[in-house]
Amino acid sequence: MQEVLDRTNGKIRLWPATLYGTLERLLDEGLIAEANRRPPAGEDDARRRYYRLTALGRRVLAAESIRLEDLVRVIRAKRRAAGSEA
Amino acid sequence: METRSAGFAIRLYQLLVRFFPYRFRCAFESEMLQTTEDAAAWIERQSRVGLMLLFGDLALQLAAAYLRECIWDLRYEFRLLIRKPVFTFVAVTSMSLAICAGSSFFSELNGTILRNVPGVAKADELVTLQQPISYPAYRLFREHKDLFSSTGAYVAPVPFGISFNGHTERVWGHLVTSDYFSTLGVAAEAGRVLDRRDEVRQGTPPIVVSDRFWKSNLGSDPDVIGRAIHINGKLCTIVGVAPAGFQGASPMMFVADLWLPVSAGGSVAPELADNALERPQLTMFHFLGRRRKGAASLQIETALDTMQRQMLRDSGHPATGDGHLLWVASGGKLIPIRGRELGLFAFLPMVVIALLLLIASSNVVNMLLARALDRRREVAVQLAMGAGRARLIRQLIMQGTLIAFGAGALGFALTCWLMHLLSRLRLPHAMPVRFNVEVVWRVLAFTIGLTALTGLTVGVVPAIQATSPELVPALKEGANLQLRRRRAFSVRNLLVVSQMAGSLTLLLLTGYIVFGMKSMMAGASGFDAGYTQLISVDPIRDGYSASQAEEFYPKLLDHVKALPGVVAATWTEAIPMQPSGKMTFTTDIDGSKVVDQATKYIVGTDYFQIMGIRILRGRGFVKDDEKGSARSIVVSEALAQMIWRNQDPAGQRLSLVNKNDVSFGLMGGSAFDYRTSSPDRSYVVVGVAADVLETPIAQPGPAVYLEMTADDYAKPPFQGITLATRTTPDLDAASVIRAQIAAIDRNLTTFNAETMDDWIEQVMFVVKIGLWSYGLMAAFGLVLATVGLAGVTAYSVSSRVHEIGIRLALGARSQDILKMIMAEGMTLIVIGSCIGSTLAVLAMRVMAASMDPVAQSIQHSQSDLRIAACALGVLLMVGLLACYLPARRSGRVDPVVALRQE
Repeated sequence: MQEVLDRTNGKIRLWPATLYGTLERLLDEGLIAEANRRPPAGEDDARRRYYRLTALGRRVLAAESIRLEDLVRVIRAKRRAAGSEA
Repeated sequence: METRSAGFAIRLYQLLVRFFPYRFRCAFESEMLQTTEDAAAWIERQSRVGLMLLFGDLALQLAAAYLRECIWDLRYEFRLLIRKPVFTFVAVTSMSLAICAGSSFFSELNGTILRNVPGVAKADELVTLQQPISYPAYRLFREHKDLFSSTGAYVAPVPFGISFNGHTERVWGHLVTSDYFSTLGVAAEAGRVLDRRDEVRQGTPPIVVSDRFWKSNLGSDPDVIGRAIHINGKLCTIVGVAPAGFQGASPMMFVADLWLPVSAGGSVAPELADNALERPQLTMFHFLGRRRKGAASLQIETALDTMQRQMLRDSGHPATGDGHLLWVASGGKLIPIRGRELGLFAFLPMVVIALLLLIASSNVVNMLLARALDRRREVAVQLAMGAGRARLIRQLIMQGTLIAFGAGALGFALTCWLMHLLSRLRLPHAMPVRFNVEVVWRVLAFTIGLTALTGLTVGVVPAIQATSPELVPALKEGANLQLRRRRAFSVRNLLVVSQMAGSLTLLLLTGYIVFGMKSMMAGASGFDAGYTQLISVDPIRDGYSASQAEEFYPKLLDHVKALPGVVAATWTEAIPMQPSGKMTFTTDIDGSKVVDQATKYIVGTDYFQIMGIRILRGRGFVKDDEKGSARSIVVSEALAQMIWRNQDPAGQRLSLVNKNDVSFGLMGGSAFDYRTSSPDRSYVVVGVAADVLETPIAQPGPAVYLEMTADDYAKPPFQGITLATRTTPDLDAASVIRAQIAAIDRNLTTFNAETMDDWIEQVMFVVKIGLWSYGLMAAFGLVLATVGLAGVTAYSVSSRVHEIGIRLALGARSQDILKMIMAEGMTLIVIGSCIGSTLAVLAMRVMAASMDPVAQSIQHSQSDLRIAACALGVLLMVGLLACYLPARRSGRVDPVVALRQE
């Protein structure tokens, strides 16, 4: 939770129920899986569980990034066109 | 935030986390609890909004988690159902029929007694009287300011001949008092409505037209206010357009497109002629009152009833009997009914529907129980793997819910279709009765509620039973091993037997009544009117004066009679099987006065010949009777038998009394005859005519025939006056007669042009619908019984797989097993058939004793054994099939399975 908040510069607060609900869905859809590799003992916490992206998850992530980038591009182009008309 | 309340928030959060589905908890519960504890410091820092967000997120995810599980369950159960298409089809179909019955009934209720009259304000405050009243009575009632904040009255149905752009059109409307619109709370869309100003007549009479009329007939003319228009040949001025959707105070029984104030007088509306507003005997007004707060129906009823009694006493015609003269009914509903009747109208059928639904549901429950037995192992494995029982019950309920929602969708579609058909139904009546029961959102909501309820009912029982096995035996091979108790009288079997009996009773009853009625109609209608053309006119409402009309009728008749191909022609007000008013008569028999009632038909000279009604004694009417001074009357055989028995009625005298019970009812409304107010008259019986059916379902009652006179021509009834012409088969009578009418007056309106055969077809159509619905009920009963039997057989096979296996292993052939299972089903069928036949005979006796039409029709068919044979045959065939389909599975049992279980 804290890490998400830090990584998004405080913009996204991932509430615990949403976090675990999302994890469950991602696991069900096979986009993530529990990872066997754990960080070195010094940084590890025994209670923690680690997840890794599956191959499918990687492909979906890539596709989703492209989709969002395209979306942003289209919106920008439209706004630019509207701006130049005005 | 204080530490204490932060601790409480953390504990609450931990508690709520436990409500997550089991699977989720297994995976994440400890981590979520850990996260919450780690966040304790953060929670402590949070404001109230932050905490609300935290808990809101939890609630949202909780709902989402359960929804996801439900979707999995639905998908799983859906796949299982698809794998058993016959089971699914049967369950869905039988339940959809029950749901359709429920929704259709609710839809009818909703479209009639529950629906407010469109366009009126605060409909619940409006009351009406079930009996029409006279204008003097209305004037008295109006003074009761303590009961009503406002009152109005109207005459309906009233036809108007409206002339514009060179042609005349017949439009239905109301003659209204000045406070009609204010009582209904209706304001004009354009111009003004009729009000107090219009009480006194000045200049041309004002009229208000409906929005529909303004759009369709006046072309939405924006300058319509102030436009002059001819009503019944007299000039009137349009002063307003009523709001869209408003079609009068009784849009179903008496739809209105035009409103004329009663102050317009008899010169415009013949209904108001002869001082109609001053005669206490002339009851043609429908009352409307907006009751004050606290005024109870009973109080109003008592007050008005007392006044009515007093008024009749004062006028010299005191009411006989102690019964109520007036009944107060809901005035703001499409069909006015009394508060007390609501229970009868709504509650009783609701109970029947509920029972029907219960039977249909119990059948499906039976089938599901059989399936639950098959699924015992699957459920046991799930339980053994740690699935919670509640979770499994939820999953199994989904099965019932899926079936119910499939059935609900199908049932709703069926309802829509049925109601659409019903709305298009045209009742065989001169006035346009509009029956609008189109399905609306309320019906949809009702259906959804009904469906959810059935789904739950159907799902819960099998789910509870299926999830309660002791794990160990269920997991073993001999899962279905059950000791057979005496099952002959199990509830399940009783249910199937009663369904079989019920459906056979219905089948037999319907069969005998339908076939009986057919043969009765074929021979005993009492008239034979082949090749007879009917065409109606109403010259008075086309603006003719009385003398012009008197001249017109004989002239046209002579022209038509002279046409080649015309056998006979006559003017008549009555035609066979059209509702006609009742009239009270008195006669002296051996010095004592006899008072009775008879249906009154006003007919022309050649009526009996044209309609093929036999004159049994004496004569029919002759030309001289038309003068009216002859005072001749023809009576029906039933009346002759009733009054004079074996004497010859010819030459006897009858006096017709004009009382206020001349109106006739139709579905809670009544049409009036405004002409029955002349003093008592004495008539001489000249002949006896054969009995003619008044309606297709009632035995002919006593009837009198009066010859039409000049007075009748001048005051036509609301259905106009009909020219009945009997022709040779090859003549296109309608167009030839129209040409003759046009030759005399091109602008005269003709209406209701049809042949007698068309008319009979229309009348019979309503009867057919009634019979069809009985037939449908019988078919529905049969479907239910069949499904029930199939369910029981399936259950029997499923629960006895083990026993069947052993029998097979011991050398029984699969045919023997099939025979054994089928024999059980057959026993149920045979018992059901015996009870059903007995019940049918009893029911027919009871119905025949209490209802004449049933007795009449059964008389013609009771000796026909083919009907019974057919009904029994159908039941047997369907029953056998219902046994055979599930019983087939018994042959597929593998004996090895049975041996392994030992």
